[in-house]
Amino acid sequence: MNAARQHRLLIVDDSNIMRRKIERSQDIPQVEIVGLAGNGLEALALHEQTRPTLVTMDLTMPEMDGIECVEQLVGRDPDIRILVISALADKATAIEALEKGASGFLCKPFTERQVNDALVKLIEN
Amino acid sequence: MKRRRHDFDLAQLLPVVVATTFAAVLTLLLTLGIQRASQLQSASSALQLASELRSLPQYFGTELTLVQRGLESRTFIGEPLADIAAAREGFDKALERIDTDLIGAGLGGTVEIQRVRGALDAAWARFSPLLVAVDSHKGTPYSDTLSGSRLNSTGRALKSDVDAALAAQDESMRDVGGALKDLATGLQDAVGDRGGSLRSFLMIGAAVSGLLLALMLYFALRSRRAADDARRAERQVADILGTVREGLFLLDRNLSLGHVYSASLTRILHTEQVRDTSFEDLLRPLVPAKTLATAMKFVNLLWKEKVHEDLIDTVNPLNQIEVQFAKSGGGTDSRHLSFAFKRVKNAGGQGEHLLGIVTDVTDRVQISRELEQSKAENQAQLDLVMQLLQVPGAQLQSFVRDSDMALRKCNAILKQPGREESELRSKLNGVFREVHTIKGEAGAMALTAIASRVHQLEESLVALRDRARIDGNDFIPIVVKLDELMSYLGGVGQFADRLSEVQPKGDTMKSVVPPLLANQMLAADTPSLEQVLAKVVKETASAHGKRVALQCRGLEAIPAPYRKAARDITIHMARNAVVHGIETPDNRASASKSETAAVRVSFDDAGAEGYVLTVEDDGQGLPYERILDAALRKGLVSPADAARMERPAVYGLIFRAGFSTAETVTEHAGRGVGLDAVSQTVRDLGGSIGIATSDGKFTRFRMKLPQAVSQAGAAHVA
Amino acid sequence: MSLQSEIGTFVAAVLNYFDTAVQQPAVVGTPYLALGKAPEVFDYTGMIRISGKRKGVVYFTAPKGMLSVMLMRMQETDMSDANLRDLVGEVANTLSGNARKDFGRNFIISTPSVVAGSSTTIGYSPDTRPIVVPIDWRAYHANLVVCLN
Repeated sequence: MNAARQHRLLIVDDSNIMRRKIERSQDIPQVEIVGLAGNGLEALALHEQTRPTLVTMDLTMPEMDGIECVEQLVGRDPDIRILVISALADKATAIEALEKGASGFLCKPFTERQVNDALVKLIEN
Repeated sequence: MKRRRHDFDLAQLLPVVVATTFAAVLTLLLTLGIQRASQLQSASSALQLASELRSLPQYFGTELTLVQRGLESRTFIGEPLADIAAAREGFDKALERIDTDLIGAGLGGTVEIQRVRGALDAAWARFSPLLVAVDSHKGTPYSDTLSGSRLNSTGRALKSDVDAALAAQDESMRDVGGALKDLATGLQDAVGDRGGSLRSFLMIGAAVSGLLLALMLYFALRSRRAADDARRAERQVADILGTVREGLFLLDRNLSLGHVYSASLTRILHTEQVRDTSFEDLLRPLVPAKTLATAMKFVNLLWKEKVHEDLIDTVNPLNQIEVQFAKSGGGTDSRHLSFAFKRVKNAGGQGEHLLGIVTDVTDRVQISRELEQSKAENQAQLDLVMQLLQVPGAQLQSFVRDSDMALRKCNAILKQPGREESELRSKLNGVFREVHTIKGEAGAMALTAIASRVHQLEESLVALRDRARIDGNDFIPIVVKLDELMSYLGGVGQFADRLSEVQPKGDTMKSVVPPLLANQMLAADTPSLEQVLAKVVKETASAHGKRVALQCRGLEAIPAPYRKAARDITIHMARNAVVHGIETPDNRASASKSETAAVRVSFDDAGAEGYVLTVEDDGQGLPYERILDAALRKGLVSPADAARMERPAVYGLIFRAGFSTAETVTEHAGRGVGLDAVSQTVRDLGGSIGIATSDGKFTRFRMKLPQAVSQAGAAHVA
Repeated sequence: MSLQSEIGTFVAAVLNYFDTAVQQPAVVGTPYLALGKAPEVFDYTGMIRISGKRKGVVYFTAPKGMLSVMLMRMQETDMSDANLRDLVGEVANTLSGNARKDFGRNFIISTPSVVAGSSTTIGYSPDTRPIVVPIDWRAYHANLVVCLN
């Protein structure tokens, strides 16, 4: 069972409700949730401890925003897969996050199915 | 995937490899054949020699007998002796030639042949010296005596040699003959053997050639079929590209378009310049620079391995974008296009191209817009009904009458001849003033649904005014909106008529609307100017976060012919005072002024001087520098003039058409048309406007109106 | 399609006719609404009727003098009534053609008809306000009238 869960997911979102929603939505057997972070700094700290392979990342957060966090995480681990989940204010910001090394974008609000589909695609890629 | 590429190469190479192998085999076979043929030739020649030699033993016997008889009869024997010597040498030579031929026939090493050949040599070696002894005799064998010729010593020696040779001849000749016979038999076998193997080689060669020919034919057919398939596939691709509705194209790493694209692409993009064009150049004339930059960033994301193409659809800035195409007859055509991109991977899994798909979604967008619009319209209608219910029917009727009049005036302005640019611009300004007035009145009655409707027409007028060049064509949207507005206000008028029917005369709408709404209603059919102004000031102040107290004096004394004009003027100016004159409560507090500002509107009868209408506020005063800046920016004055202008002249600029100092346009003020309309109205009435202002303290507008109502004033009121 | 772009189509058709057939451009004045009374009708009028998504009439009306000069510019020497009718009918034809091309299936467009005489009245639904687009050409003045609900 442990061997099957080879993907370690870190959820980064400043909204508790969102974190919980992503947590509840995620039901892919190969994925194990290893941490929940409320901002970029927390995410970096949790990355040290938990070494996630997958990250869902909000963009607008206090302390450190998503774009910078993406950049730092990719700097630490070039293979990390990051799915940006954000209410799309302007496309340019989302594109910037992808340029910095995120792998995909999911627009809030989302359904459980959309989260799972997106994560499956990230794993398979 | 790599293997497939390899297979492909092998399939290409196969005919070449096969052909080369076959040619090598053929060459080998032919070489062997030639060798066999020459061996066969040598063996045949040896056989022939051997056969010829078999008659020689007989010949030697005959010749030796001739010599013996010649000696007995004492005749000349030189001739037979020479013949024997020649035949013997011939035999020696023939043996040498047989040896050469045997080697040529490849029989040099054959044991059987060697044995037979050895026997022949041995037999010949035994006999040949006897012959040598005979034929080597020289000189005359006879000595002539009286008793006739008799053998001398030479003759006797010869005779004994000949006798010896003849004695051995039978046996030797049998041996030689036997050996020759055996040799001939051996050679015959060898010839048969060589002939057989030559035949085999030639047959195999022929078979190989036939096979090669067949294979070559097969490959030729196959490659021809492959070419046919390729051609057919090409034609099918062309059919697809020619028929498909979507614009399909390929982008390479430099984001340049390839040579293959669907026919629809040029139609959708309205350009033939597609091939080898960079995608950026293709988009540049169609979308704003900012969108273009974002779009290029987005497309480049697709080259990043890490980015999942399915997970970035939502950030595609080219999904449903509005683009402008220049029309052939001038002007632009606005369309909605949707671009999508897919990675195209080669056999090695590497992304070599992006497939771009563009569709014209104008119709779809239009339908969804219309849907939204009709939703919004329904909502607006509901809002309108709610708002109308709050206004007494007679007041509404009067508003509708006034508005209709104003719209008719707009139409009359449009109907006037005049096609020059300046004439068109003055028409535009004229229409603008009327429309702005209607909007003001609607706002004053809290009919925001109507005000926003009128605001739309105003928006079109602003857009037109900001154009560098205008012509009659540009007024089509204006007249269509004017028509719509007339229908709309017509509907409102019908509603107002019904409303006043159901309303008890002189009463409010308490009977038909809920008490809460009824409480907010005004008590009289037609509200006094003071009530209208109070409402305008209150709403404007709350919309702009300001605190204002309105003080009115003498407004009820305005003579009837001036009432409409005074109403228009004071509504404009009071609103302007709140928006532009009055500071925010914070600013007022920090300037040690009371947080609640004052706006005063008064009307005085100055006897023979006429009337004076005053609107003043205790706000920040007219911002001299901002007015000058704005006028410069709008090109109302030249920099040279600006430098020379006195303060009063600068203040006068605010009455010019097109002047506005507000940064953003709102429904409340900032159009730069209000004061322009006021000034026009006052002039139409034969009056004048004076301004007094002090920085940080107040602004006061005094409008002097003549006692007798002028023709122009009457016209305006009518 | 909005009324605005439909009117645009008709105006473009008329202007194009002047540009190409007459080879001398015409100028569009500011359009206005015909309020109260029917818009002015000149000597010759070519019109098309439209039904379907919108209903109504579109016509081009011009004075005899203007049409005569147009004919002259088109190297025509015969200024007979029949030829003037022909010309105004021709303009109406281009209106119809462009409308068919631009408006699509939701519109049913009649074949053009021509009436002569400035006293004619052209019937239109009373609850629509005709939009009059003045067309000025040389010293002459014609109208394109679009009356669609």
